Amino acid sequence: MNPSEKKEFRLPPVFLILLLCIAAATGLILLLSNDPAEALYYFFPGIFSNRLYLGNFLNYSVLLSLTGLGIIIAFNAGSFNLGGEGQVYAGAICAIAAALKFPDLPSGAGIIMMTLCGTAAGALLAALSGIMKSRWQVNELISTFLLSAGITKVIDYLILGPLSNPDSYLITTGEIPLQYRLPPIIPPSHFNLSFLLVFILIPASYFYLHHSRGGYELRMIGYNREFARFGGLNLGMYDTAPLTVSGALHGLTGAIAVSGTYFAGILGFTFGLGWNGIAVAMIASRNPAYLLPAVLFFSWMTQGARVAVLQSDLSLELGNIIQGVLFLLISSQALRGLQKKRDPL
Amino acid sequence: MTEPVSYSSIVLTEITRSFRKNGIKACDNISFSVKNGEILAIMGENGAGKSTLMHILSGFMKADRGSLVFPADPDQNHPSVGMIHQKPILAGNLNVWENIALGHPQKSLVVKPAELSSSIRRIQENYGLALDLSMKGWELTAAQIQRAELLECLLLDRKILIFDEPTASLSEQQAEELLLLLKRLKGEGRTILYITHKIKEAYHLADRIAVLRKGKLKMISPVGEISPEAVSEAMIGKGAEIPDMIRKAERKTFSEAVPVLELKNINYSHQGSIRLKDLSLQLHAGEILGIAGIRENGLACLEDLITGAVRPQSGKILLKGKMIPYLTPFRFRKHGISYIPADRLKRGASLDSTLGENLILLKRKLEGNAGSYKTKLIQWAKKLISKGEIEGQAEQKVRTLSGGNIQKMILVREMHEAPALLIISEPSWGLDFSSREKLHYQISNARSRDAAVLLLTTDIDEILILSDRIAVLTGGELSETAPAGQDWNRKTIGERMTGADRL
Amino acid sequence: MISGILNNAAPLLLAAMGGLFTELAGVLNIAMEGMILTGAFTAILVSNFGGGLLTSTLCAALAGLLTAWVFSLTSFKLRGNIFITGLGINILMPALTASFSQKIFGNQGIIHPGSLRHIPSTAGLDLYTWGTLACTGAVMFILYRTYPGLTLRASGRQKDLLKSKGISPEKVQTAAVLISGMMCGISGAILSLRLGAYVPGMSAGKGWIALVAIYLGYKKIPGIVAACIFFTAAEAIANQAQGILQIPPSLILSFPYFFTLMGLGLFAILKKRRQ
Repeated sequence: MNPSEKKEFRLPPVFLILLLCIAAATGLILLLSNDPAEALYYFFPGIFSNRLYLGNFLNYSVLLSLTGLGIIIAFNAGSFNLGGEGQVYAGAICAIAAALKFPDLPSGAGIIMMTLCGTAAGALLAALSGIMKSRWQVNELISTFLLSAGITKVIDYLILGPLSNPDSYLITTGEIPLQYRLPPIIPPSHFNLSFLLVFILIPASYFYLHHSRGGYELRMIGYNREFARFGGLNLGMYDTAPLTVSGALHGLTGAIAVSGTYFAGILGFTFGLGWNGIAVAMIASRNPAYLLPAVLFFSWMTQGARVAVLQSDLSLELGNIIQGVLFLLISSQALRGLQKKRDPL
Repeated sequence: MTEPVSYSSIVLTEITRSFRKNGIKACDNISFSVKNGEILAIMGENGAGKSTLMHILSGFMKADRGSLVFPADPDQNHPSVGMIHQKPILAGNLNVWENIALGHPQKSLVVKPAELSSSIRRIQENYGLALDLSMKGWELTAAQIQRAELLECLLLDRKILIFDEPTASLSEQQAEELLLLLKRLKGEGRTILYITHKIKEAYHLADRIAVLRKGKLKMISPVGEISPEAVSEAMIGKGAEIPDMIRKAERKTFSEAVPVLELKNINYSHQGSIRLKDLSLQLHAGEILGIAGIRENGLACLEDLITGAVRPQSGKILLKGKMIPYLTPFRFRKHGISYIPADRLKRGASLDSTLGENLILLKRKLEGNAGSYKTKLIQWAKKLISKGEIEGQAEQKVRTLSGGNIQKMILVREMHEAPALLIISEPSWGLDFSSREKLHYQISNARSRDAAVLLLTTDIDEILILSDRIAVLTGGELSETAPAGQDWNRKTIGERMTGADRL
Repeated sequence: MISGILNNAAPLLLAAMGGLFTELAGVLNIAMEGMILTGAFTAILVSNFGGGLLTSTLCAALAGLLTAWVFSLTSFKLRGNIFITGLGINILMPALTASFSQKIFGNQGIIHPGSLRHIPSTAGLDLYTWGTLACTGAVMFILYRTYPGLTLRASGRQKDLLKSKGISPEKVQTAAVLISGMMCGISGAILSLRLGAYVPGMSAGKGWIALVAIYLGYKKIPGIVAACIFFTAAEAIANQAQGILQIPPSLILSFPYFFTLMGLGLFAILKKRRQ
């Protein structure tokens, strides 16, 4: 079986699930809305109806690709990064803190500084879990979550307290200087040049994972740890590094969200980027090559829900309800029609 | 199949079962009957379909076609069949009586430990099956686990007992005790199906022998009416015999230079119990050092220690005369050591990766400029696939390969680069006769190329065939090392392994 | 002081007992968070429409059971990734409760039912704490002295074992998830009925902390009880510190997570040292 055949073989079953998810969303709208036709219109084709919705859809896709990629990289090495939410949040707040501390740099230098600070913050958080895993075998699934949940409350405190902007009606920090903001490409939406990162990082990750020695070693550890260990691979490094990279990508997402979209730290503004990153990574079945389609689909569903809430009588929770239902269905092996794995012996 | 049905305890008619994945028939149209109170030896090479057939008998699997009748049992629902598995499964975190209770008919919801233990003890006294009921599952040796399974079957008063290669994990003495017990069980009127590779055992024990090959019943006959040669031929088939190549490979006298591997006064204990005691050994280039032992009795521990999976409390490990203060599997492999683990599926293979990815494990730095890492990997894998005569494609998932092909894959990966040091543990587990011969030939070939080979095995015959020098590991203590043929023969090794020589 | 900690530990302990069932069955149950929240909301809802303590609690258990059923259906019948389906429950349930809250009460914030129920108590411990302690004893008996309990303890990751005894591992896992759903539902009811109100997000990581307590307690009941009491005491100390050290309340919210993480780290280091 050559690789191209494999691709043809595996995509259609996923489409079946996607169709089912669309059906579930439609069903929920019919149930919850008094004017289903209008709600459905805004939910599905609605995001293509004007520049603002389209741009925001694309912008959210950019952010989601980055977190999804972070999950995929850690997942390939057998690490589950559950701290995405906190890492995005930490990346954002560090980028803001840096921008507010040094407001007078030239535009390019400022953006780079913010990006680096955000990336470093996310990386640091995840690296802590990675070190705990490689040194003391602390389950990273739990440690990343706890660290992230704890740091989220600390950042909430920072936004409410020391960094808060007394002049604003919203609970928010001060805004970053104008010259640090990424200019929009499709105004009035916030879609900006950061999309280039996606087109660099996804192919690079794909190449690394599937066409390099390091990627090979990393994936072997993810597949069978004992096998990799007795094959002589350096586990300690691969327990720490992929998680750190995963955290860095989440931190980067936070920094970009600040410099390109929100321009300030709003209380709890990660909008599920961490959790949804896990979902898209699962749809893409740990392969970066499938990430972009997965992201576009997921982003379409979530942004569609937002537009529908804004434009029709649907309540604010609809988006979350649909998202929850998606999560329940999306990883189903039975719906994909895949056979259960069986040991040969 | 002329026996009248009323005297049979099991009647199989045209039992067929194929595997969903590849459509290969594990059991193909098998018909025979088993008489009440007889011992029937079921023989055949690996993959002949013995285990599948027994799983169908015990109700663990269902046949695709055919009928299975238990004339003596009105319910017809496999309740009177008890199976003692080759690789027994039991819960590690439960103790012995809890494990036995799991299979007990549940009249009430509540467990009564005192009542249960006393009825288990009665059976223990009756059959002489000593076993501490309060031991946890993970503390038991293979022999003890087998004993627990047998106790469970006897507690339930199973009339039909299936033993799946029960002596494979036993010492010679334990095996003899078991065979005596089987004869007693037969005397009680129980029917016994006994799966084995060993012709000697079958002749010693059974009333009749049935031979399976490639899923088909090749013959079934009373022991007195058939020669061992005929049984062997039925098992392996004509012309499959392999000349004894091992004897041809010359045994050299090894040089007195620096040993390739040296252990000095190793002490290792785990959770308070001593596993290896003041162990020293030297291994030189161009020799095979065979260490016989029982896995649970220190052999598995020694394997872990030499590969760096565990660290000794005291003692030194030297590679080529150089001391390695903190050996890990990573450092172990850095020294270019080849290792064939006893646990092939976990340590030796990654089932969800491709065959190519499995083959490349040791040679990750691929030379040549042409193409990406992936194309180079596939090229390399193709070379090894043809060299190792593996039936599979470079991009095929290893999970879809047969056990024999997985074994071949590990072998060619570990032997390809002509290693200077080869650690090989239980090499012929799960291999049929002809593959075993080939493997032995490869190992002795590696020695002729000046490799130092450390062979860890439970199989006494294997030790005697291959080793230049032999030592026996008992209770964590290693005996003196002596050349094969001088002090060591089947009897002395067997007695030493079980500790019978020190009684 | 001690009775106060014990009272506060009750909902956590009850959730952990439920989680123990799933953990022993080899199911990573991260959906407990959503189940607790569902229970909390249902209890207040029923209470608002005149339900007594018992009715409210039972309805909460039922709601937890229902949530668990959805979780098991998508995880086992549809063979979804247990982790993703668990996340799905945790995202879906808060949104569903908010939407119900909007429809029924016209707001999505804190809900005070009309009348407050008094929870009887003796010896400093209220009805729910006594109930939780009794439940812990019952769980111990079930796991160690009944056949289903033995089966559950044996199952874990050894599915072949169950199969060879003619038991379907899926059934064991489903049963374990349903039981954990009920117990988490009641755990939620304790939270909201004691407070006399439903607050969105009031489960506050209890599902996760329960999971960690199970790990720290080596999946053994005395250990889990100790871990739950430790976490609750740490929280109480942090609350005391707030008054003395003037730590802002929003920062206090991060303490349970960090304490848990430190507990986990210390535990792992000690375990490594011992080897």
